Amino acid sequence: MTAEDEIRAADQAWLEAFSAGDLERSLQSCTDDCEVMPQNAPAAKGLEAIRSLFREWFRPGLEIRWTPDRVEASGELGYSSGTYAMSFEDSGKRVSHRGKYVAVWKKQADGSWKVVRDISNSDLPAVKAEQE
Amino acid sequence: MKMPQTFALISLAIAVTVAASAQTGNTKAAEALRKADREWMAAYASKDADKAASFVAADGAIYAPNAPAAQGDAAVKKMAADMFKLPDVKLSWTPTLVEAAKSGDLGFTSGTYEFSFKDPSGKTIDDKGKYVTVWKKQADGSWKVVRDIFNSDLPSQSAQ
Repeated sequence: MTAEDEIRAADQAWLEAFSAGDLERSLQSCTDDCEVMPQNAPAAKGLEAIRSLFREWFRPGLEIRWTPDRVEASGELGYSSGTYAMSFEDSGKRVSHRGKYVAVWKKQADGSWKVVRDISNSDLPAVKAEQE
Repeated sequence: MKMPQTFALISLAIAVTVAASAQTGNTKAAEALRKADREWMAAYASKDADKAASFVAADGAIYAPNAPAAQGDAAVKKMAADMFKLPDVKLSWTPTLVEAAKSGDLGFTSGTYEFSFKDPSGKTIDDKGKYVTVWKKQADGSWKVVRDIFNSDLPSQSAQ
């Protein structure tokens, strides 16, 4: 398995944990000093802040899917980059978003790949995204 | 009691240095990245769209919020040129983490940015946020951007 394949597998495993709304398993993909950077909110720095952020995201009815269109690695460092689509219930209405993301991955001492930086933003105009 | 305190401080300094160097992978490559990053910012500061786009690899992309990805040289150039048309536009960023792989051919910078311009009424619009830039060493030894993505810290109403 190449480093790229390993990152693709780790990216897919992270998505599965997200899709299942499994908070603890989702956090296992992040390093202790990881930063998750959501749009229109400050960065969540470190596992406790990320836990709070994911807890907010993992609402009932959340549907999320991301697809890496580019994965590259060099030894112990790599990234995945691609598109995402998500939807959730908000006051009885279905809200949809789509956009793009970059995740930076680092190989850990135990051989696993973990996320050090994750950032995403919407493809939709700011106002439209609010109303959809 | 001065000695033990000094010793403790020195030990702490060594521990911090070791931790920092262990984290950065290839420090020499990371330093080259910092330099490329500063030069890229200078190209934006001089409002030179061709120069700004020249830092992005041929297959690179810039992911701006609330817009589709700008992929390839023409799209990246247009994005920069459109931004430079904004009255009194200012963009600066500060990397808080710079890391390169031990191989010295892939790395990333990540940090915070500040952006401002004047809207048609002359009011200054301020934005601030965060970014990740992935860099790849090219055949000619230069570092170029393969992915650049950023987003605002501010709620969407006040950011735009």
